[in-house]
Amino acid sequence: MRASRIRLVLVLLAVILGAGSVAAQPTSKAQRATINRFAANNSLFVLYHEIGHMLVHQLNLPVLGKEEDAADNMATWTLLRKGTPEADQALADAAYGWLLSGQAYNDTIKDEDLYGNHSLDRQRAFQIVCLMVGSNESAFRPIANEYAIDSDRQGSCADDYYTVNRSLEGLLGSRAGKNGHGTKVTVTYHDAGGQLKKAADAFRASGVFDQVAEEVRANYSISTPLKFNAERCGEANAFYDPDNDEVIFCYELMQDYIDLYSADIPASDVSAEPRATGTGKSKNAPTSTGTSVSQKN
Amino acid sequence: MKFTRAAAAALICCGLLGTSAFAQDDEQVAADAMDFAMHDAEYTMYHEIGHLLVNELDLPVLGKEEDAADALAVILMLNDTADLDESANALIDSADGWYFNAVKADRATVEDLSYYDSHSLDIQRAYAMVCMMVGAKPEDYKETADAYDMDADGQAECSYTYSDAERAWNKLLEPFLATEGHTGEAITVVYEDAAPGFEQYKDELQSRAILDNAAALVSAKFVLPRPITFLGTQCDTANAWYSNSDAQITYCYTLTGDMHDLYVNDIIGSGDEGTSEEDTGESDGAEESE
Repeated sequence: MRASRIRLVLVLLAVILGAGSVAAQPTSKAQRATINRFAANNSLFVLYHEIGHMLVHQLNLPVLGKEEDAADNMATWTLLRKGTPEADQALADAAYGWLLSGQAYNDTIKDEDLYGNHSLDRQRAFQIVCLMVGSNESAFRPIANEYAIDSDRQGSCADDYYTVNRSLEGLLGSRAGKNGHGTKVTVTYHDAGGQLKKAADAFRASGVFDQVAEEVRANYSISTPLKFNAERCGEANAFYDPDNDEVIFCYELMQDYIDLYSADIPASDVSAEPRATGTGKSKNAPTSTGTSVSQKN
Repeated sequence: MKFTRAAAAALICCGLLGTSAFAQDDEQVAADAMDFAMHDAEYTMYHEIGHLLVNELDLPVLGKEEDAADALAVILMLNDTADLDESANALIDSADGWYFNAVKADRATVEDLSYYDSHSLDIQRAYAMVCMMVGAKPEDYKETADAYDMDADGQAECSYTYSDAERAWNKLLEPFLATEGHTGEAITVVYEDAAPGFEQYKDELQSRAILDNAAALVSAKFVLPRPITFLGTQCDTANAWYSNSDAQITYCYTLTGDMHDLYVNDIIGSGDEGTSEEDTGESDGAEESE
């Protein structure tokens, strides 16, 4: 057997996007409310994502495809099935959150991003919007158009949603109903202190952690008691820890979403709608960050 | 046993020293290009079989179906123990195919990247395949993973990626396994005529029984609920797909030609540009499902 042929090729795919500026901007009360809503909605999506991992682990669900994509799909599916304006807003915020984080942190796509467990942030943003338009074309065509998803793909997104819905109905259908025995969930907000206190307070006040905990209690019958811990972690992240049956939400992540959106606000009208985001290839917010795409060889 | 990419380059270099040697190397390149294209055809059929199984057996897919199909292709090829060297070469060639497709697209224009495609990016598909390979058989594929610059931690983590994927596929396929006396519907293999210039690909696919072997593997292993056709044919695009409404997997000779030319023009880089019979402009998603 021989090794791969790729050794001689020095060109690797790399996309450079200028990182957006993250200078702090003065904010009005209304802006702060919008920022907090955006951060809470992104946190909510992330929590449903971690619940997805939890369900895969606790219910031993077979995952075809990447588990990380599966967890995202489960989060999107959960929100889509609510069918409320709040849930739709959460999805729009979450998609835009992935675009912003892709812009801020994945300005250069590195090799390890390409063989990692996660899809690229930009792909995660589009996948949310794809399932949205796939589930309800007339309701979500506007946002799909804003993300410049072409009409062919918008059409085939219906197949994607069909598969995700069929799969989750089949695997969770009986468990996601109201007739389960319920799950024991303990929610704990640990002290944040210092600079994270505001973000921690905003996270708690948003109620997303308690909301998700309550849904897990009511909708699933997980035999193992679960712990939901909100805490300072030292990184902006969230986890499901299968060894401890624990969902961890880091206050740093809430702070991160606040910072991301605050930095983005001068370029926006503080509306919920993402602006011309292109396909992620030419994500040039005209007035602000001046992102550009160039090619690196 | 094939030579490595490095060895190939050396061969070409030395071939320039004499006309007769060069002609010989030309033949060698042609033979290797055909091998490369056939290996990709084998992988492509297994990938489409992934779509076929998902849809015919109504299997749940929580992630991307395209990634799942890639994973199944690797699992089936890794477990093809008839000729381990051959299946290893086929796997490596198929991963390299995605890699060089990505490089080619990158050189052309970054606009070709589609972040909302149902497929992962070509480069991600290359890495995912190598990850599955090194995860399953670290001793066999460490060299390949090293060539892809996957660090030791990443390679180690791939063992979980592989075992998770294999476990999920096995669990879902288990109820549909064929047993003695309980088999499913048959798969019919058809090779339609090729367009001028593509006969060699049709002949080679047929003589290596690429579609036939894939069909035999599926019908021996799984209970299919209805008859299926595997069709080799000429198409406008370099593609292959499973169609639920047609109960069919279509494999295009044009794809064989494209992979052959990819090898000659972009991997060996020594071919004259004239060998490219068709430029589809398609860099992403050479395989798709309907």
